[in-house]
Amino acid sequence: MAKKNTNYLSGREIRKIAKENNKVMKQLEAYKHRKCDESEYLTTMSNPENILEIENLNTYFFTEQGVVKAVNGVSLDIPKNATVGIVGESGCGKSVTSMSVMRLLQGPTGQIYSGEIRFNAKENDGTEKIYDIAKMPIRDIHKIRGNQIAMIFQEPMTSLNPVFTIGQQLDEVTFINKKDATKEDAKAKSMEMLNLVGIAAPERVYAAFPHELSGGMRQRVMIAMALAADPRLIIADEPTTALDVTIQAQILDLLRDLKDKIDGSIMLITHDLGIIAEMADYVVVMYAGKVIEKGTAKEIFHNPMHPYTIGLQKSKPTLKSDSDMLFNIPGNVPNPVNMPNYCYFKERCDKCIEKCSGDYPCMIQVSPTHFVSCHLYEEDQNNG
Amino acid sequence: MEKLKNKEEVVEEVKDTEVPLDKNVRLMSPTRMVVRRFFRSKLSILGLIMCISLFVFSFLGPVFYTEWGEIELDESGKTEYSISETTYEVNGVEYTLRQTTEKSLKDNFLAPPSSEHILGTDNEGYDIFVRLMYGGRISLIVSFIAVFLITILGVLMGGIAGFFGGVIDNVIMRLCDILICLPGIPILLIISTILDASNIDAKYRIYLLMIYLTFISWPGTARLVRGQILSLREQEYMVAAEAMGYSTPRKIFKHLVPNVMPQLIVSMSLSLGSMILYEATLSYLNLGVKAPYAAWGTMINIISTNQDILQNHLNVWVPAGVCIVIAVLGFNFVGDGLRDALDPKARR
Amino acid sequence: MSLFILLGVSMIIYFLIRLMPVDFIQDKINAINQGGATVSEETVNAMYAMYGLGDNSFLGILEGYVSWLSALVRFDLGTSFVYGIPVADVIFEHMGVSFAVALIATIFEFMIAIPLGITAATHQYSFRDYIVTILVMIGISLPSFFFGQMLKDLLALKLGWFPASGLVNATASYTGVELLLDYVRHMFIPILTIVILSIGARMRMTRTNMLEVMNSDYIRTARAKGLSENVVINKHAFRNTLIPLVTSLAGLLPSLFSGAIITEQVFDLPGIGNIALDAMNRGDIPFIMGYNMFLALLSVIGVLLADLMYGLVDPRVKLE
Repeated sequence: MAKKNTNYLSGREIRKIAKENNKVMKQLEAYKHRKCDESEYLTTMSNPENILEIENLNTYFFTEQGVVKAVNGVSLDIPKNATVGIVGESGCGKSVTSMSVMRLLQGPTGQIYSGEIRFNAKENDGTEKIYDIAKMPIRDIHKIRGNQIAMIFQEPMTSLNPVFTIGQQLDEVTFINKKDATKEDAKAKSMEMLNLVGIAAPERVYAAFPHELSGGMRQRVMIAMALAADPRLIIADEPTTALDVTIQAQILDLLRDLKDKIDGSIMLITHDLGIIAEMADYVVVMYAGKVIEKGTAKEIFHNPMHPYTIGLQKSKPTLKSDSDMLFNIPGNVPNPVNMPNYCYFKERCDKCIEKCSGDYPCMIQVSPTHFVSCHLYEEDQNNG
Repeated sequence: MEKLKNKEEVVEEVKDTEVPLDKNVRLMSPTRMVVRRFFRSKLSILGLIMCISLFVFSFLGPVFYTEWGEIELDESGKTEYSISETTYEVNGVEYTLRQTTEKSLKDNFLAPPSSEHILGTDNEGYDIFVRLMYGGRISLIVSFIAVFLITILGVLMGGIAGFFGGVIDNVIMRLCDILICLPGIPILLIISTILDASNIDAKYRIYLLMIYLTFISWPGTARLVRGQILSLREQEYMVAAEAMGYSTPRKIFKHLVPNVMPQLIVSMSLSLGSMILYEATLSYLNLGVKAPYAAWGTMINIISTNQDILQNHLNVWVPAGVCIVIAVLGFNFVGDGLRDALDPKARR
Repeated sequence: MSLFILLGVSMIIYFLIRLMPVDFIQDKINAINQGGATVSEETVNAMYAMYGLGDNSFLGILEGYVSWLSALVRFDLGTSFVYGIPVADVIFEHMGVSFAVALIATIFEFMIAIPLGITAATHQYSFRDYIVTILVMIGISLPSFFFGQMLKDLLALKLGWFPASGLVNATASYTGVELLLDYVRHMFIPILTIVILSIGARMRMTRTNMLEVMNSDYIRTARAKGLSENVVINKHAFRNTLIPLVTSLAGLLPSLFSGAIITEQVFDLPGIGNIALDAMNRGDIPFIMGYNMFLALLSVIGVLLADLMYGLVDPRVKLE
């Protein structure tokens, strides 16, 4: 009986949750749809070398079982012309972070609750403007969406509209960004993009419908679409997960080449450490909605500090390894309703110390670029 | 001793469940969740109340309210006055002679609502309130039987088609195509003519008509079940079940029933509504339940020929219409509520 | 394929008429004759011959079916008892009214239901959504005869704004534009009834489809491109919602010609549905049979047309 009472929600509790959620959701929706002057969401970068700074971002989902804190106080920076990899197992809030940046969260349940997302936007006349995307009303989001930040999604099979040709969908991007573009301009640009992403028969693909293309081709088209507006930042949300291995390698090569060509930054979201090692300059490790470790790729791969990061690396299959068994981190990511106060990784951690039952560990700087959130390293900091 | 050990184990278990994070989350069993979701929607509760109250009204009503019977005429008599005018001319002056004739009639028809007749009487002298109850009985019984039969036939045919596939599947599905192309009410016109020809008792013809409706309505359910089976066959766990050597019937029972059941329940409650509408329409067209027996549709039928009642005696036909609307709305609300509650994607 | 369906339907319909006892048909003919009309011996014999009635052996039934079917192919549906002219002629004569009412009603239905269904989907759980939900419920729950009679009582009899029944004002002899206006006045309430009762289901369909489309990945892509919400809804989402809607439009074809039996009965419109009901009551068997076959033919055409339309609107479906 006792077990039942703790594990089930009573009707009254559900109603209470629903009522509270509705109140907060309504407020946030109203905030999202408000009309306001641009000055209200203009801000300044803390480091002008960054293109994107996320500070203490909280993105919540108001579900009927309670508030899911999918992104819980995430802070990270994306420098100009860099590739930042975000790693973590499924459900750790990687995708939600990227969706928050694009403001593509499915309302009214998904909402940015608090925090800042500062983005350095380059206007057509060359001047730079810093927007706080989290505060932007949804009606002004067109200022950055698509033309400044573009996104490549995980599912190339379903991410293209089945009833329009590739050409129509590509041209559209040009039309949004250049109001005076003619049909020929748009087509020229689209063909250029299709060539850029290495499509062999651009004319044929241009006239094709999505269902006539393979998964790899569709992902190339998606990338072409993302590039068509010359964005400053490309968010690639697990761009290769749905593709088979050979195609994966092609797509990654393509992304790497493109970064140099377009002179922008890439935010690469993946659960595959191999991809990160190959692609990223900086790495952010997320766990259960929080950033637990971040640093340059070198630091993370040669000197991983958080037990979770270490575990992640151990679980990567290598030829050199002697053991027959793959390492696995025991347990699962906790469901993000009713999170405890102590470290979320405590249950799965093999290096637990007494302190771990205390407050959630704060970020500790171990080098100018390397941060980790674990009690194990707190003393080091105090000493040094 | 053993008992004590058990207790300790239980305590250990409880502690265990409280400690790990992923188990600390409070979850509900799916069934409880569905029930909760269903009852959280005000419309579904309203629908449930409507259905239950109609059932109580129709089935228990006549038990407790026995003043009048279904085909019991109020023979207390009625006096009808008619005024006739005759105009004639005498020496250039016009005279009008008004004559009142008093006519005593045997039946107290078209009586206004009173303490004796809660909703008055109809054009024959039957008590409307009581006939509403009996009409409800017919409508509900007939619809339930029809839906029950449709479901059985549909599950059977769909199950056979989906499971055996090949030629059998082809034959059954083509049969479905044919039945779906049959015109609904027009064919009922023919069948009604046939029933007229065979001198079927007025009381049973509605059942025969509903059996025909069953016969043309099962393809929907059959397609649903067949589709489910086909998609189930593709699922990995069905392959797993096969690998584990489960027999065919066991596979169906284990996996199909819980998968199809929610959709079946929803489609059943929604088709209950449409069956009630069908029955009412048939009775209205004078094809279904015929006088002197009561049905909601029959009670409205009178106004298609008698405009006086349509305009001036709302108590004769409006209550029956309201009953139909309540019944159909009720079943639709319940069906919609169930669908929303059973849909794992619908979160609110 | 569709020929096969038609064959199956015709078999069922033929089987039904064979269930009718022959002397019953004779009774009905006598009743019609007493009612003033005369059913010529010739007509009756022609019908007997056409359906092969009288011979109840298996071969006889088969022969009758074949002869009826071959007559059907030549669109010879027999001669109506009541009207004394070929059934096909009676159908075509009365189809106009039914078609006009159904066409106008369908146009209004789509024009009202689609925008409402879309707003309901894009503003899920809002006030608008609730209004639409209520309208949907009214549409699918009200019996047409009850709602029609209520409208007739209110708008025609109590308020006197529109005529209660019929198609033309019998006492006035209008011509030209006036006649047309008179038609419009008479058809107004029937059309209103049909529209109100049918938009419910259509709105629900639009809303469900739209919701599904709005949750799809390609809508997310469209938003990510930077398209405004208006373009996302009215171009990307709408085009996809249109697929089932257009397909259902093709499925509606039969109902355009078949007449709304109940509505026509309530408002006493001389449409084909009302005629059929009347024919049933008077025992005009050739007409009922012909009418049913006509409907079956229409619905088979509807199925075919729906497939065709599907191929037109959805690029994923290839026409063979």
